[in-house]
Amino acid sequence: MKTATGALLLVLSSAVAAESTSVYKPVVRGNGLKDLESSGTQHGMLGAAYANTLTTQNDVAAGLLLNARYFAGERWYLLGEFQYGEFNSEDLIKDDEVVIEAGEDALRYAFGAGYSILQGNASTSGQYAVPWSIAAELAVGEQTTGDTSGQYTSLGLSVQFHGPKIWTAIGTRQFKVADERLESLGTDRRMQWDISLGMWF
Amino acid sequence: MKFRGFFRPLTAVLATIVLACVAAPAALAEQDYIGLRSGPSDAYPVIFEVSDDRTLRPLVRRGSWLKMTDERNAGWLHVDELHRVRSMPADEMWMLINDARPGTTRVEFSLASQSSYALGVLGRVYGLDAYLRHTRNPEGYTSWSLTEAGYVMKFSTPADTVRLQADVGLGVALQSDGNEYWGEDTDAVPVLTGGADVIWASGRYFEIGARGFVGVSLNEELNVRPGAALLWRIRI
Repeated sequence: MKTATGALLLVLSSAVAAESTSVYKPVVRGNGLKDLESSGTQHGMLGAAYANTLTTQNDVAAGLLLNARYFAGERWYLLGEFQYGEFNSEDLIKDDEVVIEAGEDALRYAFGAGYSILQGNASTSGQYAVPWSIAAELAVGEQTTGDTSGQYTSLGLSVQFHGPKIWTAIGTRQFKVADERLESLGTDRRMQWDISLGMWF
Repeated sequence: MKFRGFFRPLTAVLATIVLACVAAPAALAEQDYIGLRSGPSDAYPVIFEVSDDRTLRPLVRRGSWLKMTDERNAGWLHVDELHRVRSMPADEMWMLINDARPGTTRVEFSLASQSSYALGVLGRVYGLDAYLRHTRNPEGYTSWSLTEAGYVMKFSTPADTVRLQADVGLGVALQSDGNEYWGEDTDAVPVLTGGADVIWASGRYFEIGARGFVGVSLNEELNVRPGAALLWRIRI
């Protein structure tokens, strides 16, 4: 009897030992976040525009405008602009002296901020809705006109329609270039407008 | 005895009606509807509503807003409302909330006196708030620019969204031919700079401020150039 009991205890103890070694298998536990599908992020808007510059003593000057807007909250966004185009198609003359010859190019870049003043929903049929926004934009930068350059500042409005894939906007702004050569001709300030088409990024 | 047989089903029907009346308001109170908007702002209207047990999937995030879909319609929901979507797992909800938090690095633009403008970056370097700024001043045929780096010290917060801070830095100024803003003889001039800012955090990601500053050229002339600027910053 004693022998049988001893044999039984021996078998049980070996079985218990085998069980404990099989249970203890340390592994690194993950929280599962890596398996989650990450949704995309819309950082801002990239666009290209046809732009026009209107000054008192110069013809309408058309140009290509590239712009970028980076969202900074629900209403604020950062603004970056790069515009290139012909500044004047005819000689600009002051006191019978040609100050700027015909065909000079104007290149400007500016950075700033926009604030969406009004936001709403546009719909004609009631089935498809397009969010719109009217934003005030302040920008500062530099404009190089031929050989001279000056600080550029502008304040304007942008009317934007936000589609799911693309957006479009019409912008208008008052601007000023701190360039004495342009100032002497009266071509350093007035108004610009543009029509933009772009995509989200 | 006949009446007992008649009243038993009647009692059961009445009890069922009473129970239904008691239970129905409780069930209605638990039902929550989540409004999804046409755009990522409270200003945009709610274009459709879904019950809180509906499965919603995030399509895209813009700032603190998520464009969610139930595979039929899509609309925007603020991350603070995500807890109302009962079908969303807690770990996914927290991941989306964390993704929406703005970072500590700031990009700065400023419009400064002397017809200059500046572009800068502010962030933490070895536990200290540091900045890198490039200022440029085009003046017709000539121009100067100043590239500087330094430390920012916050010394007061008079309100939750307003803070006062100061900075000190070192930089190098470059001048084109004919420009003598920082010195007469040399093109490259070392400059010691310092300034004080008033910053208003007008939004979660956006700050506006005013800045007074002074630059001292570290050459024989020791030109002192004070100025003021209007600045705006974005947290990225």
